[in-house]
Amino acid sequence: MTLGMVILFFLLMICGMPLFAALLVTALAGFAWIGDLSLLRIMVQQFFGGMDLFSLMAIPFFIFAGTLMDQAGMTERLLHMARALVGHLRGGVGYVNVVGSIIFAGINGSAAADTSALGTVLIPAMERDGYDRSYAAGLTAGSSLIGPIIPPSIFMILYAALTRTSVGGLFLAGVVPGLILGLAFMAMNYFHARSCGISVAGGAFSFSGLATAVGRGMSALVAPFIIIGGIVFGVMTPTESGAVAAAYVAVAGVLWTRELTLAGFWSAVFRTVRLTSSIFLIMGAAAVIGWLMAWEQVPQEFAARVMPFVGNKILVLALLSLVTFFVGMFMEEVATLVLLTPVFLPIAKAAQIDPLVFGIVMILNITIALITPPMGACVYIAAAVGNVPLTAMFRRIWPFVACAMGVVMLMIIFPGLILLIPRAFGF
Amino acid sequence: MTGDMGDVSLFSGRFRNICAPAAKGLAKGSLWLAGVLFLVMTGDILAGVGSRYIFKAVPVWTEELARYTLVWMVMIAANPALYFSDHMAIDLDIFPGRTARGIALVRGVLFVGILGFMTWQGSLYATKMVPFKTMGLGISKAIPLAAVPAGLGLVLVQYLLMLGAGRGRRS
Repeated sequence: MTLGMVILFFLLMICGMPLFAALLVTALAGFAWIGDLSLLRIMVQQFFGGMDLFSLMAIPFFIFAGTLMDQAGMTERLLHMARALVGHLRGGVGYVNVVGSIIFAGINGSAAADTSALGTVLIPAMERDGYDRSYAAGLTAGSSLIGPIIPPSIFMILYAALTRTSVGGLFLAGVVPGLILGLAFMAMNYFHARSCGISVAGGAFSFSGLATAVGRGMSALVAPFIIIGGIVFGVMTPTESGAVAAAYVAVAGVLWTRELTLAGFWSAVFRTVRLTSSIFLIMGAAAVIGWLMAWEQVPQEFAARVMPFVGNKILVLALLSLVTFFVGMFMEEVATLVLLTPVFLPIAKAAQIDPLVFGIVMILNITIALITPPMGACVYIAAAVGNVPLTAMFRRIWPFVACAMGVVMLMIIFPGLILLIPRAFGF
Repeated sequence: MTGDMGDVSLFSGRFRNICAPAAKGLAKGSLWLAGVLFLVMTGDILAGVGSRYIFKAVPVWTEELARYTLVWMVMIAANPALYFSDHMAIDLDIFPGRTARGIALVRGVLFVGILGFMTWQGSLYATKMVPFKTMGLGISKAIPLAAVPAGLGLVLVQYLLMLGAGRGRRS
């Protein structure tokens, strides 16, 4: 039955059916296969239950805070800050792209939002500095992967809700891998800028210029402190810290940057509810499939096949990474996370892999799928905002995929890097 | 990567002129309602935080209100998300004309079918839960559960209106 459901699901996806509907049709086919009509009510029960979780409520607030920041002119201030920090180096705009992604990651936690916000400004700027347009779009898409790794992160909230792991611990666990990913992309850019003879376009570095930029960007930098600080120090739950951060951005947008208008505010609200709806419908539908998988004992069957390898943590993590990566290539990220986590968790537990390590490795793999064909949303966005043909984008993206995969391997071999900060904070 | 389901034109003329503004009106009206629900939810969460630090206590109903408001917001915003092509889907566009039309028809039938089924099942389930009360708010459990049939029913109406309007592909 499971194989039949997988085939049906992919057929429905290829037919262009919205993901939530494809999952529900697949689930209905699964229930029809079981043949017990009394179980049909479970579809609605699980669909509702998949959305009705307090811990998931942080998601709309993170989306709202990020969207509101753009409307409040804080995005432009952050970009200016990144430019003041690294714009003076050879190939400086390339570094600005990566550093901008790191700073943005601390605010909205969405790779797609980073790609569109940074790509619009930086792809043309990189081209002016002598970069090839498709490389610029590739770097924008690649560096946006840092978004869901450095806290706050929508994927981390989801993983925490599914596995009852501490959100604060996960947020802290993402810091080092996110920074290493950023450094890896900067190293790639360094060699690319050297080999292509990219000039130094910005002026000399100035402390006063940096101080001014940081001062202007301070309005935006407070938000991640509210979110991360509130959670890590136990002052607020993730949902509460998201709501407080969103309220802060709204007030700061009116009183501090003075760029947030009523129309901009409502635009952010509408964008948030539409995006939240599309994410939560998938989570509800995936919960129905999750119930069916549990009924069919898929996690136990999968675990039985992998159990012979559980003695070797690295092998288990590498195997689970590989499966996640391939599934992520063909499936939407939220659905991949919601469907695979319950299947893989018993194996990770049996292999005594720390849930924080397992979570970060899963999220890294799912995030990388954002830039792989055929479902790499960030590649599509970068191609659209950079006006680059998709074929050129998919040719250019593989070095960035390889670089990110290298970081995943590093995390698998040295899990201590993930646990460094969480352990320091007692998680 | 966002999907548009309104790519099958069934009607023309006056009917299309009625359906197009109706689809737009439904999407915009629902979007406003969902937006207001989102602000209510935000206010509720902020009130909970404030209450905890000012009065050292949080009313038991705040979490439940926030959760149910979120579910209603999600379900009400599902039809504008369809109208504005926000639902995730693959748009491969690789099939030739006749095959593509056949696929669109099958997809449309399945989409209407699953929405109809969930609306029907959702209504049955919500009705069954009428006598039961929620822990915090003390309201009938049917109230939050009704969000599923109401929201998916509106998605169905929106889809049919979009079909009636013969709306082409939007990227």
